[in-house]
Amino acid sequence: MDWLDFFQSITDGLLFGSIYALIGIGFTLIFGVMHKINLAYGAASIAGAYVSIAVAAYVPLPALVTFLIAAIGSGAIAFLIYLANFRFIPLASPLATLMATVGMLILIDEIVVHATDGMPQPYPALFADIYIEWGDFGLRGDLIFIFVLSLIAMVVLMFMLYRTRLGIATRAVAQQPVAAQLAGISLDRTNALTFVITGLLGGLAGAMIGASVGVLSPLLVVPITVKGLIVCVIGGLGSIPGAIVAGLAVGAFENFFLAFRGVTERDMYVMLLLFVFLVFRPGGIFSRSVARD
Amino acid sequence: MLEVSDVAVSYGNIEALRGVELSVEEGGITCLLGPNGAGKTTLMMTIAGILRPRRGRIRFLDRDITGMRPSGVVKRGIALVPENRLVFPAMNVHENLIAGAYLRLGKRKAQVQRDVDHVFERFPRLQERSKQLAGTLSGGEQQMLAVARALMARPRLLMMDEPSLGLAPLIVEEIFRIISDLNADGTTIFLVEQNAHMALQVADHFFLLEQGQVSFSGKPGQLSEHEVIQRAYLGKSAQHDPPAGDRGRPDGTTHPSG
Repeated sequence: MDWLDFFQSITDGLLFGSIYALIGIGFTLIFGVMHKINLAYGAASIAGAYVSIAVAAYVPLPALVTFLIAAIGSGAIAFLIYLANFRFIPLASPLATLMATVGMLILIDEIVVHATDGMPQPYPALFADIYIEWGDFGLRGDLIFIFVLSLIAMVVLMFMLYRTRLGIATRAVAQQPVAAQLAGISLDRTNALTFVITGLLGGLAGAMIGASVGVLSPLLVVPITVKGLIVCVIGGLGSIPGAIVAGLAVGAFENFFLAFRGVTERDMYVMLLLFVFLVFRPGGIFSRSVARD
Repeated sequence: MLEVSDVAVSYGNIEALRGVELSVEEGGITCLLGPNGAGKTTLMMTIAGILRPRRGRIRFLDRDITGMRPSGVVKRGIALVPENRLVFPAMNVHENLIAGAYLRLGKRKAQVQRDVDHVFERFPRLQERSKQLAGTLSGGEQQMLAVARALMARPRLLMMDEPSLGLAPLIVEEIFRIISDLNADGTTIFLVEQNAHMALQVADHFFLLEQGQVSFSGKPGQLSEHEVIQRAYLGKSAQHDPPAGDRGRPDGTTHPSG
């Protein structure tokens, strides 16, 4: 493997990693606001993409609109997950909501398998015919599109969090729920809206995964969930900048090992990376290194 | 202005409030004293709508607010400065104030900005630290921020839960001066305090809460400060011999902090 291959694989990985960043942001936002993990999040993201092809089967749609419908579909599913798994389940028990979301993950997975007879469904790619070359180094158009779309989604999210009333509510609930209520902020409403926002991001990510892989399959759910959780751990649970950096890093890291060691070994190294972080930086990249005492 | 009648609140099987009766007069400073675990914070949280009473009525400005959501209570004109201040640590001072005006955000931006300016006039130190994260402020500054944030809700009744907790004596004096100033400017104050000495200096009226019930109500001076302090810190049983067992433990440590 020469330097060019190295740079090529890292660059492709960084671009694709923006999807992991979106998924990681989704997990981390819910954790930040509710201090809960929504394990059904990856499933909702992929299910959103399925919703968009279901709609596209009846009405012919431009690919970009398909992406938007995926986001909206996943946002709606995320809201349902909030109602079913968080709204009426005692939050004081850490296991209750976690197990409920495991159930929801399997339920969504089963519905998808049932609806598609377990067959992978083709998903439209965007700008797949574009390839920008500099000698032997090149950039895939679809990956650039994924990267740019993710970037736009992140900018919109940051604007929402730091410049809007909903953003004030979200951050207030995350930092100090009692004081947030005393200021007149409703926990239920804020939590529900946070779920919808993470759903929108997830649906976009699900559509981009479908587009870059070329097909949608229920088999995508578990890897996406696991990668999203790894991104959260590496970025530090609750940290959005952490999730962004970690998402890109995990993308680059796994793509490097894909090129270097092949597809069958790739995920083993990603898992090793997870353990390295849990031992040496359990608080994530932006925390100080911690001695175990 | 505020009437609390027969309010009872439980945490599971533990009864924190057992039929509390008290009222707060408009325009004054009313103080609630009592030992740890008497239920002072529980009462504040119940009035603010965070906790729901098991029975009883809470009326504010002749309207029933029992069991109302916190946002409804804030809208009616009650703001609570919570115990331990509870500022939003990762927001800067300015954002904390904006969050305090949450219910008016969006619709009345200019008015909220004027209120921020107004609050900064009252607390110049907060203006100096406007862009600083609230979590990095000193305890006294955080307390001022918590008060300022509550003021951003434009309350007619400002409730404060132990504003002097953990602060140096000079800062405590400053906080009490602010309380008097706010009251002089027309805000009714309902104050929970452990510092009975300071509280009795500013209050027009005080209540003693012991073991979930109001055991005394009157004006400062109606009970000797010595007795108030004894009872506020240690509970009734420290003053009198407990009559056959139903007065709680003699050391006054009835419940964990309430």
